[in-house]
Amino acid sequence: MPVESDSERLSLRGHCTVEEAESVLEWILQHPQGEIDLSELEHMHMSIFQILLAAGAPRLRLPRDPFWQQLWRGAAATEGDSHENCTRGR
Amino acid sequence: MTPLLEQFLIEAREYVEETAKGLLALEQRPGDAELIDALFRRIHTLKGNAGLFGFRPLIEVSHAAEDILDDVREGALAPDAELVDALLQAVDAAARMLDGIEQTGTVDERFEPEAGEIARRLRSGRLSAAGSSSTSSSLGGRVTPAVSEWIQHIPKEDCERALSTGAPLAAVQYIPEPECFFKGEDPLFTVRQVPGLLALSVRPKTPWPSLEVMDVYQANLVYELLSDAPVPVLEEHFQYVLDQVTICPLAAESAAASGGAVAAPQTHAGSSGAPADDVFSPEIAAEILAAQKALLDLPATPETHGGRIVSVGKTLESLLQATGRTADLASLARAVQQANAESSSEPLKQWLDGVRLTECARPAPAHPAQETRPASPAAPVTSKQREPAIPESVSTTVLKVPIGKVDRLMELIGEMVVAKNALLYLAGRAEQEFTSPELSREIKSHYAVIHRIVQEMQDGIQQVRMLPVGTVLQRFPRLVRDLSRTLGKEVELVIEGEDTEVDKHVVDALADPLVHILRNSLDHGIETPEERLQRGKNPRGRICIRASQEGDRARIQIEDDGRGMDPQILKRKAYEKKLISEETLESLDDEKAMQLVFLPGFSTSETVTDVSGRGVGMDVVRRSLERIGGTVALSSRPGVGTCITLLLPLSMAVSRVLGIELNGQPFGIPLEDVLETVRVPSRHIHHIRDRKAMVLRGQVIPLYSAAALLDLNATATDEQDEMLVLVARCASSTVGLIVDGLTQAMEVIVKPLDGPLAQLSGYVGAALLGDGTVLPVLNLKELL
Repeated sequence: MPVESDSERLSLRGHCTVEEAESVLEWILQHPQGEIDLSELEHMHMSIFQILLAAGAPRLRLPRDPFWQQLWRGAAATEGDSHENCTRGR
Repeated sequence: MTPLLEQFLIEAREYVEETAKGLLALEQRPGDAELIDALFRRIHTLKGNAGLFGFRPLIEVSHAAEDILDDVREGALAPDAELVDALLQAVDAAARMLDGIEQTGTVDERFEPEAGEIARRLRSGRLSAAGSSSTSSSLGGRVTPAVSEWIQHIPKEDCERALSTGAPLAAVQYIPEPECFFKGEDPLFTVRQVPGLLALSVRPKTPWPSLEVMDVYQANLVYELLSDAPVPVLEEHFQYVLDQVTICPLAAESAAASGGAVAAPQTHAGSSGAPADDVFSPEIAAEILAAQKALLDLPATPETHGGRIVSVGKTLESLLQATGRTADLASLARAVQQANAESSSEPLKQWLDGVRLTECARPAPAHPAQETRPASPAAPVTSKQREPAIPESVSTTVLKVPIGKVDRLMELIGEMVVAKNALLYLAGRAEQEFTSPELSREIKSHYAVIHRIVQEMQDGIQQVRMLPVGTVLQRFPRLVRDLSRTLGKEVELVIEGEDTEVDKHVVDALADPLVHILRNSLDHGIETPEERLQRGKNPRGRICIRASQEGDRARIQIEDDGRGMDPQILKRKAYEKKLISEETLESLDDEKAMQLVFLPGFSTSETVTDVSGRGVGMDVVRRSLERIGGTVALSSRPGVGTCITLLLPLSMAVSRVLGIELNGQPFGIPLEDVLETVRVPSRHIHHIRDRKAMVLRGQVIPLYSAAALLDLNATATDEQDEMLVLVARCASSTVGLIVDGLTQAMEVIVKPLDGPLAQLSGYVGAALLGDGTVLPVLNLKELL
């Protein structure tokens, strides 16, 4: 399974497909302060990425691939304007 | 010509004709938003359809026209006569391409240069208009406000790094449609694979909802990115989602970092250096010069200064070349050199002041008027362009009819079949009640005539409703390609027999089950390339969809060469889920075990890969196929692959049933289930415990009393010397049904039972016979 979780940490590994999206969301809902470990992630489907963005996932360990760093920078740069009128889950 | 291509031509011609009409109307009513919308949609569809066949020149022309219409829609362009001219020219060219396609099945290569020319002309009109309509701000006014807004979203340092390369860049905005996950798309993967990706930003399209109510299957992101790949390469990369993507070429300029302002992006046209004669209207040249001046006037830090001088110098150089003023190149080079040496923009500014804008904008003498150009390969076409744009009268013999009308006809004919059958009863009465065999014969002969006509009518109307299964299969190469890429697998999809024709309703009902089956194959059937190599298989998996006609049924086979299914695992899983008892677990043979996947509730997250996560399993596939009178069978060998066979009715309206009699009541059995009828002497019937069986040509056939199955008072069949047995196909086995009598095969319209009767299992539905009798039609599978 590419998704492993316990009460403190959710680990996404390898290729995570859209099928994993629901379980990721569920875990985050249950563990709003949990750590999300993507260090062994190769790719995640956009649906999962969206959830992490929407959740604002405070404790995130990014994958090594520079693409993800770039992507998160790109998401953070626009956070300002999306936050103004955004109602977060929490 | 394939039916698909025929369909394409019919539709494309219609679009082209309507677009031409619409364009003329647009000239009269330039502000008609609805009209513009309709035009855009048509061209967009034409482009999409052309893309399906890979008719490149047609795609190019329609794509350019689509862009223009989009600008018109946004209000960035005014639909003046010149623009309408250019669009009409594009439409005419498209019409001629269609003529060519009709004759040869493909677009003639000679259209390629023409298509390029038309697209360029359209786009150049777009640029000049966009340029002149915008104010000459400090950003040069060469980029639509939208583009500079996208760039603002990109992290500043990434953006600056991208711009500092000095290479021509393209800005891309990709807004995946909300439902795209259901098509197996992963836009994030597409973005990740963008060639030459330098910088990107991502933001929610609409503010995020609270997590509790978030729909994880709804795409809600906007990607904006910079790439140094050429626009055609980007277009190819996004070819399947081009409608969701906007690509804008920019020429790199040094970033005016002060005050957080992002660089002044410029359109590619200025620096391309191509002698694009008609691209350069005097206004554009003047505007480019003004933009350079504005750039030089901006405050600059020492780091950005050098890059700015270089890029302004390049732009001016290209401008001189493009306008044919090569004599001024030397003085420009000197000014650039001096500016670099002094770290000041003054020398360039002075040079710019020295250039008289009007002179620069003069039509290029190096490129004399277009009309006198020597004949190029496109020349014959060009001459044809000048012909009046009245489309030649193509004798279209094809009508486009709403399916509702055809359905109505089909229903009427169905009723006619039933009404026709009433004549037979009438003939019977004439003979028996009125003892007039002569009248009876006459009625029968009339019946025969009407029967023949009705038959032909029915055939005819059925032909109208028939569609090649290719219409549903054509979307799968895309699905397989995308999914296999997401899953990191290599899969080849082979489609055979796509011209097999079935009823439109069957085609429609086929799409979802097929998608599901394919997803299963891709996700669970086909192994990863590494795993396949280990097993000594070709690393590239293969899924084959074969369609063929088999009597009055269509057969569709989906076969993969993946890992297959292990009956032991299936059995265990079914047992764990309490779907089968322990005894069944032990007694099930391998083939029957395979069929367990069709049990409701069998699917788990491990066996279902429906992207929507609805937990739809093979049971739903089976049910939806059975609803249209189809069947599904599965065979699989571990390690070798899985084959799923669908058998579908060719048409749905009129079905043939065999009338049987049970306990004095008439019933029907779908004729397609019936293999044969035999009379069996009672002594040949074997009793095995409480079951009966017989041997027919060496095969043991279990026997059931139809009356007992229906809880009718069984007639004393056991005491008869001879029994009437109807041998029928039920799922994959053969069974015998003991009946009291057989009447005849007849054509009826079976309507599903409704109201309280809908709860009854064991019936396909009921039909009304010519004499007013209601005939319940049995569903053997449910009964047994």
